[in-house]
Amino acid sequence: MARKKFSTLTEQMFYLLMALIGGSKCGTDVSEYIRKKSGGRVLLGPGTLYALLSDFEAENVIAYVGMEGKKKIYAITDYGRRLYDEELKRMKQCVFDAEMEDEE
Amino acid sequence: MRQFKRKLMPFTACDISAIEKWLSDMAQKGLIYESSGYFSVRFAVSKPVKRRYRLEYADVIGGHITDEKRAMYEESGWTAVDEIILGFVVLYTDDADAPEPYNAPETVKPLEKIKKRQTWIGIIFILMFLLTKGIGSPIGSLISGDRDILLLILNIGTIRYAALCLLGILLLTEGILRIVRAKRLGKYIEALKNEEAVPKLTGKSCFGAVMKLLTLPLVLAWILQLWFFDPNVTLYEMAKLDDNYPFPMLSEINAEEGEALNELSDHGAQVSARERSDFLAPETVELFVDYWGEPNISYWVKYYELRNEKLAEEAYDELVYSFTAYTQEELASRNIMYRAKLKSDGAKAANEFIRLFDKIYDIYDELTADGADDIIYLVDKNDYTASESDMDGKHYQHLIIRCGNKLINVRYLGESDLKDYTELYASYIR
Repeated sequence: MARKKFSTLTEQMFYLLMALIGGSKCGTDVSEYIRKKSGGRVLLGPGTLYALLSDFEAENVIAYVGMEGKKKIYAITDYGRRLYDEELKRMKQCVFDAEMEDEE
Repeated sequence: MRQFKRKLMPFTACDISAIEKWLSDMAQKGLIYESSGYFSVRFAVSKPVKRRYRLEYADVIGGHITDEKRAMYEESGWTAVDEIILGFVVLYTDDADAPEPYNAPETVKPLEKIKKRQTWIGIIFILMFLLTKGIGSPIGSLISGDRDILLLILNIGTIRYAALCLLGILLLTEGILRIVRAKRLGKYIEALKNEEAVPKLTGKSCFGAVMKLLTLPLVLAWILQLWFFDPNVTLYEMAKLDDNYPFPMLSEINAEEGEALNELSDHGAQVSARERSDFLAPETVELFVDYWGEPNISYWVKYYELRNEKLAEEAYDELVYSFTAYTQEELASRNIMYRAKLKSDGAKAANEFIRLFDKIYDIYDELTADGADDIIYLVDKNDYTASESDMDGKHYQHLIIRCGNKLINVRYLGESDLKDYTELYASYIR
């Protein structure tokens, strides 16, 4: 059976959605947010950023909401929010299981 | 006033890493990328600059990227050049801290499409090689049972055959190069997916540049050879000959038989004359006459003018070997099926048939003729029909004469004794 797209998110995808959870942003602001939030650990090259935004928009994970000069502004959709929440829950479960393993 | 320089483009679409490095190296030499065609790249002459180049392969439509993408690049320190190279948009930055454009495994799909396309193009070139006529023709001759070894060697020497072989080799090279480059791109893709350092590949070579120039002409030449270069016509051209044959005609060996042939040629006698020229033998003429009726007449003559005496000596030795090396044991093993079949019809019929294939020759190699370097005369001692009366006791006679670089190979079935005409044949070729 084919895996559902976005059934798991990469780190860059997760942080991108995290950036939009806080409010709509343009691509550059998303990139800057991720860099600050991760302390420079997670970087999105401009090509990667554009590809992820395009992909997410095509799958209705995010939606285009307006323009700021030449820049498109994006906001997270309900579906995107659900994906984010599911991924967060999954990662928390992973951390929890790992910590339980350590205690044993 | 700005100055420009053009350089050959020695890469295909698979050589992304190599192209990026090449452009950076050129910039360090003061050649700044301006634009490119399929074969060459135009550089502006300027001060040397340390510049990073990258190729944008995703979302390139009509040779452009969207304004939004361009803006994202500019804010990250990259500039998109409006001129594309091999379908990619060229990006550059002078900022050593500018982030790499792509750093996620999900973005390699366009590269995988390129790899797949180049692999298929390589496979197509290899198929074209297999379907090139020149490659197939010596195999075809062997399969068809052509036992004239000399002819097989000479067939390879024709100019058109050599050209077809060259075409085939170049097609094969192009196919292999494409597949190798696609595999290299595959390694590049894997490195991107695994977020490893991409392999630094140069791949630039004069050979690559030349092959690139030849791609389109190769395809056109291959298409043309499908219609125009039939190896059978190429290697053995039919030509209208006048009466000036470089060897005696049948009427000079036996006037009656020669006269009968003129009438027979309109009544079922198989008569053909062909000529050809190639590297090894600038002139080859063959006369073929066969008539099985009354009277039985068979007269073959093959004339070769080889490029030099050494080749003619080798050709002579090959022809002689083809007769004298024919042993009974070799025939027996080859015709065992015929023997097994015919034995079912009775011992007498089987023995008669076996005898047909036991080629035994009376060999006369002490003959001389004025001007002749080598002469051999052979008589095939067997009859080729069950009834001896059909051939009236005649046997095939073979005569091979060499004078310098010229060679005549004769096969005759008739009343005359070819041994008596060695001077006549030698007079035509000395």
